[in-house]
Amino acid sequence: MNEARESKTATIAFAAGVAFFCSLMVSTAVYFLRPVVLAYEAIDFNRAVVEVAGLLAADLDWDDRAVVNAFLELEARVVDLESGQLTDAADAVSADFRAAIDDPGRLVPIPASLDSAGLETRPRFAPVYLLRDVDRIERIVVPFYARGMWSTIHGVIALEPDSSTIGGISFYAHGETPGIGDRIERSDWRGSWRGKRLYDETGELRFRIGREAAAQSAEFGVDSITGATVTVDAVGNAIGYWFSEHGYAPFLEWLREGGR
Amino acid sequence: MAVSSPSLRSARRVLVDPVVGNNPISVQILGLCSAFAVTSSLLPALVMSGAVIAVLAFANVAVSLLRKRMPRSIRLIIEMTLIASAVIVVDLVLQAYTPEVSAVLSVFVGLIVTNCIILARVESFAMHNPVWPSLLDGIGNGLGYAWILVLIGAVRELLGSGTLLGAAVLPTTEAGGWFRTNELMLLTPSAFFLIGVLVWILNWIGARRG
Repeated sequence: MNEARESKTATIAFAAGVAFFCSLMVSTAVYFLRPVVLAYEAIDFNRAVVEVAGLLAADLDWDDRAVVNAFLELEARVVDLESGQLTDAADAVSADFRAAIDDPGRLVPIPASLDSAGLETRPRFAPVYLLRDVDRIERIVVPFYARGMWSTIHGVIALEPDSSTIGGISFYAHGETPGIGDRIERSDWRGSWRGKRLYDETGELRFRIGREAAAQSAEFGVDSITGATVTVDAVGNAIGYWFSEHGYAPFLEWLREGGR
Repeated sequence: MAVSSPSLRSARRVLVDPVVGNNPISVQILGLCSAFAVTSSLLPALVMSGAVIAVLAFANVAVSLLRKRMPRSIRLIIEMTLIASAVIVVDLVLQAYTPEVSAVLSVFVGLIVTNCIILARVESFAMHNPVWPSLLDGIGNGLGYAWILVLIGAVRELLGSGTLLGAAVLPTTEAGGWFRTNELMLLTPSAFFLIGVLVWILNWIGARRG
């Protein structure tokens, strides 16, 4: 046994050396590879938006260029969630939720009584993507996020011109359990959202997720996923919050009344 | 540097033995969890194999280089730090260059850290051997893990979807052919059956050879 090797100083020095070497190795890899990963994440977001907007059929394997081209056809705007109106105070790229939720300066607190999804804060500005046919709005795509079992679940949802009927939903970033929570991504479940309505005629939010909700109402209810209850409930609660008076409801109301 | 013939033979044994004789999966029954999870088709199995070979080779070489200076008291944590760093780098490379496969592999790349094969090789081989044999041992054990993964992945994709690497091989009934896909093959239990059958065949061959 080598005495010098086992001394306290040698041990600490050795640990520090290995730690330094490993951190150098990891940070070098991050420095060179992170931009590539971010580019793919941006394309994943574009793909989700384009898919729910109905521009590309979901089950086909579109290449990245087609996705980006279709994405650029959409009108990218920003909603000020305080006023419920479109604004030019920020641009859609910088309003991206994934970046915004890490920046305290862009977040506003959610009053506890309204915080049905346990989010605590939300960005003041939200990007929206509008598909226009001449002057008529065909689809309204808005992002949302939910606090899932392990992770923040990011998704986009598309609404029909009545700003109540769901045209499509897609999740573009999450860290839910593989094989369990991540089944929210499955196209059959997401497909079951299509045609459901968020609001009834009086403008009350009626949309619910769950076994009973689905059994009670084919118009407003989406079935849960067995085994993935926590993740699915988080998504359901998030939809409840994001389409409430503190979320997108004032904006949708404003659009219905002819705002542009 | 000239390699004398006995050490050349032992180097070959270090490389080849874990591939056939002392295979980490079929004989040591290690690393099964990931072997079940990533073999529903061939491509992820191939990528996962590459990742494990890279991590094993790196970990073995690094530990072998440091083995004479490594304080015994913090041996394990040092080994784990090196393995985990290598896994993070490999995961990032996969995310950047094979994003679709990386999405399929999801947590299982990160879980290479806890793959018993790696720590077993580092502890039982690299701690006591020079760099060159340690590298070969890492690659050899990686290959031993890889060929089983690739074989199971190929069988499951072929019988489960009628394709190999996504290209149609057997004409499926859906496409108007005669081959009826076996959906069980796409589910995890089929990997249990296939690895079980494989272990049985390999043991049977081993027993016949005496």
